[in-house]
Amino acid sequence: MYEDLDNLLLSQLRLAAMSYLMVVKEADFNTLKEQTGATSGNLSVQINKLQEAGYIQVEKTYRNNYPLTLCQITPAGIEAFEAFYLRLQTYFKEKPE
Amino acid sequence: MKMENSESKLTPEQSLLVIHQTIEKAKREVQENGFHLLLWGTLVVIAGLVDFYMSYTQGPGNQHYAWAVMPAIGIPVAIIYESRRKKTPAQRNTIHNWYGLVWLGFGISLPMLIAYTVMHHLPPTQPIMVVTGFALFMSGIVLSFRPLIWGAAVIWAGAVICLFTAPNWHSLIMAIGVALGYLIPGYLLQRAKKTQ
Repeated sequence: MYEDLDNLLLSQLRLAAMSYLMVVKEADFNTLKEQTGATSGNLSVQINKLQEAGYIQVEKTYRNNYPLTLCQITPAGIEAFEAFYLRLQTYFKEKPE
Repeated sequence: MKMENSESKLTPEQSLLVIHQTIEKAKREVQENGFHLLLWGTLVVIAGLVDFYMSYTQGPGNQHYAWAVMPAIGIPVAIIYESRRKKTPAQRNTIHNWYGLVWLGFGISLPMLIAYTVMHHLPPTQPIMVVTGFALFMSGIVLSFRPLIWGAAVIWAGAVICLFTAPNWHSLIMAIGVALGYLIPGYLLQRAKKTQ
């Protein structure tokens, strides 16, 4: 049962980033960093992994002449997160007391 | 939970904890600050009291102009407030969208409802309280903020009282209902936002 859980989301930082993006439609890199308490390097690596999996979409743009990285959850990401959450619930229901 | 080792595999218990903590924190951050509830609540209470006082002292007449002044003050203030409000990408979120859509639906319904009651010479207060209660109830659900749900219950109770009272009392009932149903939850929402 535990093995059925999406390995990509079994990382604290990736799961926190995905959970946050489930609530907000879009978040910039610094907001995600603040929310997750991660270092820039670590967050950058995990964002790339989520992007490669198609769970989030990353847009690099500019605001007031400063670079801005915007992350947005994709429909595939929402589906994966919901499936992960459902499996977690099933796990707890089936778990022996 | 501290973000110490993001690559170590979480247990199901830890996963659930991460999801709940993050979502709760995010929901609190995007919480509305209650400005619009306080603005419109204050205007409705003033208009309701003026309407009641004028109809009580002068009899039925021009007291309905008190209601016309309300949007003339409220709409420009709301527009100025929204245009000055700091918007970051993180604020463009699902909760704000739903909250905005609830009040957009209310804003579309209200003029139609008022037009219908005026055209058919019906007192408008009771149906206005019904839809106001509904918008407040939905806001409470969307923001997961219980005082708004209680506020809706108070306004709906006022609508029920209106069914059994003469129309000249309706503006006073509305003023009391909105003072309890809008202003108190609005103040609590503002306080909750400030303590974040």
